[in-house]
Amino acid sequence: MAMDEAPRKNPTGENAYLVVAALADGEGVDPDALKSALDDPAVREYLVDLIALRQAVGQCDDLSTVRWRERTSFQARVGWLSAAAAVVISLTAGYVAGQRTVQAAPAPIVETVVHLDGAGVAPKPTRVISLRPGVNWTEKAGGQ
Amino acid sequence: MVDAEVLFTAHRDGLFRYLCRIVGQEDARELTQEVFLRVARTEVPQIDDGGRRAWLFRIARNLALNHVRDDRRKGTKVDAAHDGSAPPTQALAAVLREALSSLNPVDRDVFLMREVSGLSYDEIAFACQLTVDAVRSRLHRGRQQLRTALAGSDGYRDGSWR
Repeated sequence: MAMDEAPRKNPTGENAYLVVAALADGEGVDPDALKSALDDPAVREYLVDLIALRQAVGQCDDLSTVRWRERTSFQARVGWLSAAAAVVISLTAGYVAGQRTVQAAPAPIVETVVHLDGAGVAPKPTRVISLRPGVNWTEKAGGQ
Repeated sequence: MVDAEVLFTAHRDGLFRYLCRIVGQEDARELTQEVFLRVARTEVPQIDDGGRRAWLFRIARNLALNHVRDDRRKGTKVDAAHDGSAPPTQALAAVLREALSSLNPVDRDVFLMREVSGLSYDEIAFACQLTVDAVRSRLHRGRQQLRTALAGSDGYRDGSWR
């Protein structure tokens, strides 16, 4: 606010209160007008009341803001806990369900059938030993 | 270009505190979010910070007025009751709440924007669509009423709530 918009110099009546209120509110104030206003004890008392009122409002305001922040952080904590609980429950439920499924239906017995026709024929001998009557099979030298 | 997120970070607390006094904490949280939802849907005016803050408060005030009007239509009451056994700070808060609710709604908005959210006279004038002189005068009237209502309350001016 510009200085020329501030309440008039030599304020009287309500204007004197407006001047000190502007001071308390950080608005532009004419120094002469302020000096005149503060000559009035009732105006000085009003200024003190403005400060007290501000402090009271600020204090009560802190209470509500703190409550909001506490609640917000509580909600956040509850959110994280819920997510963690959901993960744990899902994993546990999955594990239990898996266990039950295994118990209820054991693994099937696999039967393997080997067909011996064709592929099952023994290979041809690489050496043939003939057993003839009258041959001495007692090994004497070199396995001949 | 200022986006809604930047405005939200800068002004959320001030708006919430202001709305808290009018509609209560629970609804204030929703209305604060609603303000920024609206901001996100519209173009932020290319004005200075003070002007943007005043613009946000005008949106918030309109939302709060609609909310209070809807509540009145539904017959619900916003304010919480005061517990007689509460400590001095809470007792003072209850007296203050009561005194605020007895103010003219515009005087109350002007007072809250100044004392709770720290708006300048110019910003309040824009947000409430008043002249600066009207803001000054309404602020004075509201303060005088609150001063009378709080005189003699436990904790007021004796600093015992500190």
